Amino acid sequence: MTTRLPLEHVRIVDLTQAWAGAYATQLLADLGAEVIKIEARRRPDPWRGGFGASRGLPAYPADGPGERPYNRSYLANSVNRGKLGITLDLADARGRELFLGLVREADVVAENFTPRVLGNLGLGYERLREVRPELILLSMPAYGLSGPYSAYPGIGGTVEPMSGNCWLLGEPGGPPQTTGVMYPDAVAGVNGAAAVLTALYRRGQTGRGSHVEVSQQEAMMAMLGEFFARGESHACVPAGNRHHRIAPHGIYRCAENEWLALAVRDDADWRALLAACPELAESAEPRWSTGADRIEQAEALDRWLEAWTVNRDAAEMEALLTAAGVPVARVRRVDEVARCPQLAARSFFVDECHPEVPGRHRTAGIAVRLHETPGRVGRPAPRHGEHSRAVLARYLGISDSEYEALAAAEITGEGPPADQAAMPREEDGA
Amino acid sequence: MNTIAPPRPLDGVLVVELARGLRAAYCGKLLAEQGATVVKVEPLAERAELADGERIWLDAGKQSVVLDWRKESGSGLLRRLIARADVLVEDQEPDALVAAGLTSERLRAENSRLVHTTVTDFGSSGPWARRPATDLIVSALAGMAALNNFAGAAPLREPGDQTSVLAALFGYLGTLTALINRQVTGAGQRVDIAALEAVASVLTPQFLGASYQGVPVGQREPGKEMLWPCKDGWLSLMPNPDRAWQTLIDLFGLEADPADPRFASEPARRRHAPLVRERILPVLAERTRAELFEQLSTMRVVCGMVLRPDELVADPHLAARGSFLRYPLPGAAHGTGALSLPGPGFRLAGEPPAPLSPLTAIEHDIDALLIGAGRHDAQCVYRQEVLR
Repeated sequence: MTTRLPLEHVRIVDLTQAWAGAYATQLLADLGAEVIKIEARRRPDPWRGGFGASRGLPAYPADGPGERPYNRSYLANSVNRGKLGITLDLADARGRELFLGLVREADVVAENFTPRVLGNLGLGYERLREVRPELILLSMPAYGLSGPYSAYPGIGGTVEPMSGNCWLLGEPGGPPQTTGVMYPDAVAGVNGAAAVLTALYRRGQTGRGSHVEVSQQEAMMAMLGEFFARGESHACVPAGNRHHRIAPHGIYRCAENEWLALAVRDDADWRALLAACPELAESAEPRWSTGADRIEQAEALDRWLEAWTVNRDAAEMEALLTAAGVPVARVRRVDEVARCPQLAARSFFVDECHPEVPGRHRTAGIAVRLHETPGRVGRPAPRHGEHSRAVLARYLGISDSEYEALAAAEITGEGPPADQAAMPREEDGA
Repeated sequence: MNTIAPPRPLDGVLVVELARGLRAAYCGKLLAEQGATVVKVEPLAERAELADGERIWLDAGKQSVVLDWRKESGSGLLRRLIARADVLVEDQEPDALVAAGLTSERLRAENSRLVHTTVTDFGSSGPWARRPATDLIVSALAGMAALNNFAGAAPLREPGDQTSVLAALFGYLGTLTALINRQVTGAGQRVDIAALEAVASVLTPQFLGASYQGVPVGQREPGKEMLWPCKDGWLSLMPNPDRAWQTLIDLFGLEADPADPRFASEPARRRHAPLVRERILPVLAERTRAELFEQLSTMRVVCGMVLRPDELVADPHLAARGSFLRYPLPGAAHGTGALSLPGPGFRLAGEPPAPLSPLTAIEHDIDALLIGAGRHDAQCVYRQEVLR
């Protein structure tokens, strides 16, 4: 007897693209939801990099873009695992009819268009509810569904400064920075999944659907609540890797271009640090023995520590200080995290095969761990339009000949439409 | 409880929160924001010393019980509370719960509907289950800090304690998923969240990319800077795509001879980044963030203003959306005497969030929660604990 997947009774029609929305539905697919990803017939998900080999988004495997680069982008292939993939032309009345047919069979519709798009297609929440009264609609526009900025376009890298994160990220006295990846997208994705789960629970109790929204700006702002909570929000300034309450706390240069993260939480950690490192004990100033003094002297402490770490092996220091009970870690690059012993022990990683990418590739597994009814990472990410025929047959009874007719009219199909050859050309990607 | 308030999604869900740090407290906050009844249980000696603002941020909407559950009388009382609860959220050391007789197995034997959510740095199993850590350490181990590696400088963690907030969000996902599963099967279960895994999950694309390409992705590339100084601060902008470039020319008179091959296409502009920079900076220096944001966004050129927290509090878009919750600050020594906190990251469409009531001690109402427990017994033990 196998246990159920916790969301196996949930079907999601997924209009999301790129990262934020696709990550929300990935999280739900991992927990067993059936996710039908719908891409526009003529314009694939931007994270596929376009039909031709995109130079703006170098996202292909080491052996290059290949014959069908749109099926080989690591961006699209990462967050779209576990989903079925179809294409529909929603600008066509027949395409919209097919879409509504799928909505009739669905529990959730997810989208991250700018606010007017769905309505302009005649597919707004009210219309969807006519077809499926208990539907849950998830909308994830950059700035929310209302307000003066709601019609403005936004991507992770432009929402981040609008959340306060760029102002706070960076060295004291230095310029603002953006995170190395479009981080607000991922944060919005988590909030999107939370919104859908909340609405599903509510529907389970009341029988009623709902329209839920995630403003990507607000989702990122909520990550920074502690700064607003300080009550003097005008005084919030970037602190680099320093902490407002404890010192030393930072990332220090070591030998061989490595870095060591270290946080001395309290006087006990401080004493443990000195006990483990006699050279530090010798040069430590007695007035640093209390937390209050250390906070005041944070800059001097950082210089003192780095003078010690700069010639030392980061891995050795990590082992030594971890054994002493001090929070410490050599800074890992993403490829090193794939070899993390803790994650391996918890079977966190998934080594997947994709039909158009040679080899097995490691990616992150499921962080939402349920003990009795765990999720599972399902099929690899769909190829463009891969399940169009099967999904339309299964849910809408579309026969093979009907499918051929729809594909000939470019209302559905796989790969680039007949009038767009899959030739490499210079595109800008997303 | 206020019976006149509109129904919230988690009405009727009873949560017991045993928080040592931010992870369980923030997870409790997320549940309280959606209408759950969250009872925060703390031994008197372990009550976190939080500033007023922090207390409101973390614990508004919750109810407080001071109870030393590490002692036998206290743990018995807590067990009875948990036996009536839907959810237990905690971030305690595993030994502490075991020592108090609060193993997951026992709690769930007494309450098969219980969802027991644990939120820790590394998870409740594995070689690092007891490894000392903070947000900085988790960020370093998960590959997050390394992605913020600007030329020559130290890797940077995200501001604040974002790995704990992210872990708490995943705790919310797990708790809700388990509650949904319970709607189908009637049974609760254990939910085990690791901050390290939450951050790794967020970096799913980067992991796969590192495997596809054999090198880490997401490193800083020169010439891809997105932040540009303007008259009163900074603007996030990618000027090279055709639409953006043409708009800068049309709206702001950017000087670029259309015959000049160095500016003729996006790839060309990328190759000549220093020249592009020379052209862009004077255009931006004459204009404020607000002007540029409004004019460019209206032309569908994606950009963003670098805003400070106090500027966000005053922002007209966020005001129109009711995105900030205002709370009076008791005895405020500075500022306006009110606190503005960001609301939840998701909402019912068209319904701005409402402020929550301050953390309420429920010394006299605890009996109401302990249906079936002897009234006298509960009150006696409770008062003893408080006086100790």
